[in-house]
Amino acid sequence: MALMKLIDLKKTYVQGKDVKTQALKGLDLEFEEGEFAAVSGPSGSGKTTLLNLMGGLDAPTSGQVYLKDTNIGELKENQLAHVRLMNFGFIFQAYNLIPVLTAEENIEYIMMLRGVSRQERRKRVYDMARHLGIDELLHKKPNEMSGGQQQRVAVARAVVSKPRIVFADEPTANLDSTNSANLLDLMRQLNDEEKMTFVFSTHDPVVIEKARRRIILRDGKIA
Amino acid sequence: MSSGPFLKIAYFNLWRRKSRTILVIIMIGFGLASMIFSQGLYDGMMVQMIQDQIRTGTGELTIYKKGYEESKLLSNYIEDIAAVEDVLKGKDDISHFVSRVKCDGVVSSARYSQGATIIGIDPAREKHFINYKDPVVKGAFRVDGENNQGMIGEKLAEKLKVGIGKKIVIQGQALNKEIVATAIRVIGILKTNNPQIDTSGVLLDKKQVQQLFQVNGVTEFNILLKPDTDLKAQKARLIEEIEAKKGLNIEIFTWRELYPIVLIWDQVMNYFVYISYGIVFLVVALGIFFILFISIMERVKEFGILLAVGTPFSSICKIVFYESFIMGMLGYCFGAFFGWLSLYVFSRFGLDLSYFSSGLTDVGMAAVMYPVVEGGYFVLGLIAVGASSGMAAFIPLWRLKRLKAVEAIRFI
Repeated sequence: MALMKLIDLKKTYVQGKDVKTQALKGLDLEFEEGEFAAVSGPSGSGKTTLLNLMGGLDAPTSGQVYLKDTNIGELKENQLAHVRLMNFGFIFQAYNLIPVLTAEENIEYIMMLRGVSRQERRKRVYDMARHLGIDELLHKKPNEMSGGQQQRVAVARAVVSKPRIVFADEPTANLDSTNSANLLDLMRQLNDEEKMTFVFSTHDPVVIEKARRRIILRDGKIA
Repeated sequence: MSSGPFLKIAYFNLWRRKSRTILVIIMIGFGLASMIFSQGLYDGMMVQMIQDQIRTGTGELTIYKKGYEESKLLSNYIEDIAAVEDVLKGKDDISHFVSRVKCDGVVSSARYSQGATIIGIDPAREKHFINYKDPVVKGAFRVDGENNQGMIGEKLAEKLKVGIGKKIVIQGQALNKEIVATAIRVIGILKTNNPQIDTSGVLLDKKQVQQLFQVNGVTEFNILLKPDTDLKAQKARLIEEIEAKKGLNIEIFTWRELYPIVLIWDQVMNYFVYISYGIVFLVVALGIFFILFISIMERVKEFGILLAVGTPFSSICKIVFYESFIMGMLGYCFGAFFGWLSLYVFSRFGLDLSYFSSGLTDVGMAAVMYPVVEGGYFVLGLIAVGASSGMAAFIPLWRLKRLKAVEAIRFI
């Protein structure tokens, strides 16, 4: 069974009274465990919308989003929050770390929500930090780190709790080319070693190049 | 799930806008401190007022011959003093008692005359009663029947324009309906905060008043009870014993029955305090609400991220409530400390309101007020601030509840 399955997925945004924008026009997609997939396409093609629907952050106008055999489109908000917590990791374009917490606290935050013991959290945070080369940053707050460092912490936060699937919305958009390449290498490494599934949106050709599966969207449809 | 991280997030979020948070804390603290001080002042005022009335007037219990309270006729005096004293001396709950003779009359000086309450007292026994604090403004607390010496109230002295050593004349109707009069030399001027004494009281030796007005007894017994004595139960026991065992026809009143105005004052003060607490409650709630609301609107995206990564809404509620409560409690600590400090200072040294004193003493209040400090003020303050902090968080949370994670992340 596919890890995620999208059936005739549609999303229409309504602005004002009559202005309707169809962001997704009936997508059918499947993702297997361990995939490293890039969703690309021009601006407005529906990349972010697709990731939001897959990640349970938004509800489809019609169609189904299955995580294994659960249609997450039918879940209530608190059930969705639980699904996101237990199954998904998110890497955002703007890092979006919690500004008042240190890197260590940011990384362990999701494990803490999951109820992982303090000792286990510590171990995993330090292992992951060493792995990502950010062990020197653990006691720093986000405003004391560079963009690249913050994005590494965000990646650590997303993957340290070993989610089934990690969604990354334009993860390299705010990074220079070196940091972008490093981040992609890191995600590939986690995909190889941990068999973690990655689905990320991008329109950066260098990033697309590194993906094992490429999904191109145009006007809300697979091109 | 541990609350520690949420508490930490809430605490540090508060200090992201230091001056704003400090301003709200000062606002809450100032409101609460002034509220606590007002309540302590009102209560102190009432305690003083009640004590002054009790000590210089009725005592906590007053024994009259039946009918005296209604008519105030001198003929309704208690003749068998010994019988009453016998009962009162045997009561462990009674700390002190005095007997007095009160007659209405006229007092005159060379320049002025007015109605007076002539009170016959036994200064030795009054020592622990009326003289619980020094009421003497000029002269001494002394009466001397043999030498026709007595004391008068301060306001009466001012009206009569007499001082120490000056003579006044009192006159009234004796029990046999004859008009009697005598000259008295003033040897003491009193300020008791009891309007009856201060504005019209002439205090003489009890035996002198008895002889002058031909009263072979006293018009009243005034009783002080030991602390925590049940007033009504003691009253009932005394009535039973004096009436049944001694066969006297008497009636006993508590100070509450004799001074209903004091109780009304007390009630008015309480209403005033509750209204003031309501205002503080509102100010605290609005202050925290506006700050929380602004703070949350500034951080919608952050909350969106927290929701997106799987933070349950209940944990978001915790963060917002913690922020509200921390702000409220810091304000409470600030306000409670300064409230306590101001009460402590003024309870020791007194708050001198002598500028308004003539108006105050006319209604039986002291010019120098001593607030009281009671734990209840701080408990009530804690409840008011705690409740308003909690309520202030609801609308911002309701606003957050309506927000979807995806909208919040997009929010700029």
